[in-house]
Amino acid sequence: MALDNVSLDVNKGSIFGLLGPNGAGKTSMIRIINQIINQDKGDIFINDKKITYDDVRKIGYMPEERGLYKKMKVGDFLLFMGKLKGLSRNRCIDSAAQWFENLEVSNWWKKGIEDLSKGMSQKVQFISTVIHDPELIILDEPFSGFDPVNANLVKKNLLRLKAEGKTIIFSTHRLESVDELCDHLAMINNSKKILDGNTDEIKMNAKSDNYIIKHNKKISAKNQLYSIVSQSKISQNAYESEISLKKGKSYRTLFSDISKGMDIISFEQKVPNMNDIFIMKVEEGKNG
Amino acid sequence: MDKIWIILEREYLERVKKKSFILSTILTPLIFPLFIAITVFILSTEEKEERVIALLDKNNFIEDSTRIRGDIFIKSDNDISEIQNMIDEGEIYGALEIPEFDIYEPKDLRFYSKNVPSSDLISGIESLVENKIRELKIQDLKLNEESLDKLRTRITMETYSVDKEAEGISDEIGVKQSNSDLAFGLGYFNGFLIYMFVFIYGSFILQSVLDEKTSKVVEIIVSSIKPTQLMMGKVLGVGAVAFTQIFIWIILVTSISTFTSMYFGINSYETTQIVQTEQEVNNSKEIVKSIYDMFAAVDIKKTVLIFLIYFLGGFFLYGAFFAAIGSAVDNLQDANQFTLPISLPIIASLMFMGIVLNNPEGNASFFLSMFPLTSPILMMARLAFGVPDWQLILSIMILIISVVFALWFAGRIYRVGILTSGSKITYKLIWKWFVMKNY
Repeated sequence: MALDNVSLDVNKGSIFGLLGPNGAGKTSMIRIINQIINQDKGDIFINDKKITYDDVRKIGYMPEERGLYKKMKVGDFLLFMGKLKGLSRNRCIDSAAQWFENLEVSNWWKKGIEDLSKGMSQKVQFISTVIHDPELIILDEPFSGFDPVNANLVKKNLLRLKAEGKTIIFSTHRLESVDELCDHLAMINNSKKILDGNTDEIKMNAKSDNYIIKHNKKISAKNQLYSIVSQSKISQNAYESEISLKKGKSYRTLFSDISKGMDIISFEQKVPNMNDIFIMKVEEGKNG
Repeated sequence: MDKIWIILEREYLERVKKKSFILSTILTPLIFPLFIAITVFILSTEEKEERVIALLDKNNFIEDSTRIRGDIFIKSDNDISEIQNMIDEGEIYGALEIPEFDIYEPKDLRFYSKNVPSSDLISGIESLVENKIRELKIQDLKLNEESLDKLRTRITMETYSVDKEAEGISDEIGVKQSNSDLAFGLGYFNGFLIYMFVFIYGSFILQSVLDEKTSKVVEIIVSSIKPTQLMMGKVLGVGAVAFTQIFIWIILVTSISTFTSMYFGINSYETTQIVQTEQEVNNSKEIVKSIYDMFAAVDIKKTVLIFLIYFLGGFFLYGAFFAAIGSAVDNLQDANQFTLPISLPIIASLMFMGIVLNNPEGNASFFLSMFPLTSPILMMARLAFGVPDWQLILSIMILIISVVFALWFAGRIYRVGILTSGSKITYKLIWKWFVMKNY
């Protein structure tokens, strides 16, 4: 079974991240939304109506397994894709020109696809996905094949699309790459949804009572207030410690307690990244 | 329908623009005339060296210094063993030994040479001796050459097919002249044409589907078009390419053959040996005339229409299977195990063609021209001999139903196949895909 009782709510005009390791079921989920494969049970609703074939056609979909017709020219390919989406020739050309600009590339209309580098063909791929100005954009592993600079460019454009009111769903197995992009996210592991919600809330909830403190003298005391998870010397007069606060105690007490004997250089609550959250959730699932 | 057209257009343009298409379209009709021209050229420029053949003729049948195909016969009184030595040492090419014999019982004629002589030479000698013996017999029997000529009879059978319903094409009683040799030729030609195109373009479909799958472009396409529409577009696109090629070939072949026949028609009398005799020229004129007669007799519109129906039917039937195979496998090597059983009926059709052409009315011919996997080729083979309308209609109906079924079957395989890669494809797995509901 590729997916087991997974249900997702995506808000209009938001970016939704579908996260999970390889083989978790992300692609199956996305293919079901696109009606490329059919679900055994369950329904898909768009604007509170059951999805129709016309809806599917309006989606801008970039699959994980993607390629281009090698023998075609970039322009011919974009025209072909645009026409399949019901666009007129002129609208295709205008839209392509706009996107060439957005993605900071020169006009590739006449270039042969065979002559494109990997990064370049990924951009053409992206343009062909959004050429018809879709309201809903679904991207499966959109950043694979892009170098960091271009990945950033794509991120920028996704945020711009969101600002224009478009809804974006994308999947990735690179969990750390999504923090700044997603409004909502869901995590899938082994065909099951293990986490779902607002990105900030998820992070807040996952916050532990651990603090990263930089200070100028070694902390040695063990007491009622906290325990030391780790401590290391980072320079001549500086140490970095991870301190775990005991239950029911406030960070103010911790701060004043430690600052009594030494200078505090920095003091921050440890915020887990998506990777940590994911691992935590998987562990929880195993134990439960 | 719109979208099928978009797919068709892309497929068509990509294939037609290919260098290999342009080359094969232009070169194939040129290859045959070119081949003939080269042969003619080689034969006409070849200067044959004169070979000496010793003649040991006890009967004096053959005169001294007779030439056959550029070889010269020189009388010799030498002993046969001496002659054999000369042959072995290469002083002379060969020797013809004709012992003394009764003209009514010629025997023990022998030809010696170091290498195996050409059959041309041997038959030339044989007919020379036969003619000589004939002359001697005429003298001996005191016959008259003139009356002998009168004995020789030559008849040509005109064949007619009876068809009361046909609009009086040549006669009021509804018979039309038929020509079984031409029917045979036409049947073979039509059948072979369909065979060739089904095979060549069937594998193009396979290749095209496979390319789309391996280049991973397919999932993007099927997000905006149904897989079956994509498949139909591809099959139609490749079919349109096939039509284009046939069309260009017909034009090229007619113009080239007109040109060459004009060119060689003028020169042919000057060159010797390889050129047709006057009688052969007359024969071929007769054939051309009878082809015209036959086309006048045969309802050409009907023939073309039926050809198109079977061409399309055969193409779609096999094209569907080839598309299904292309979608299932990951590379051409894997495709082979599935193309073989599909190709078998096409190859078998070609082998059965002899049976059908020799007995177009037989039970085997009937069955083979009804069975959809063989009917496109074998009904076309039968057609020139005349097929009852009900059989034609039945066969076409069966074909159409089979095409619909094949496209449906292939579509079900295709929708799963194009998105599946890396698994080992077995017939069992293909069946599983076929019955799979949720794809």
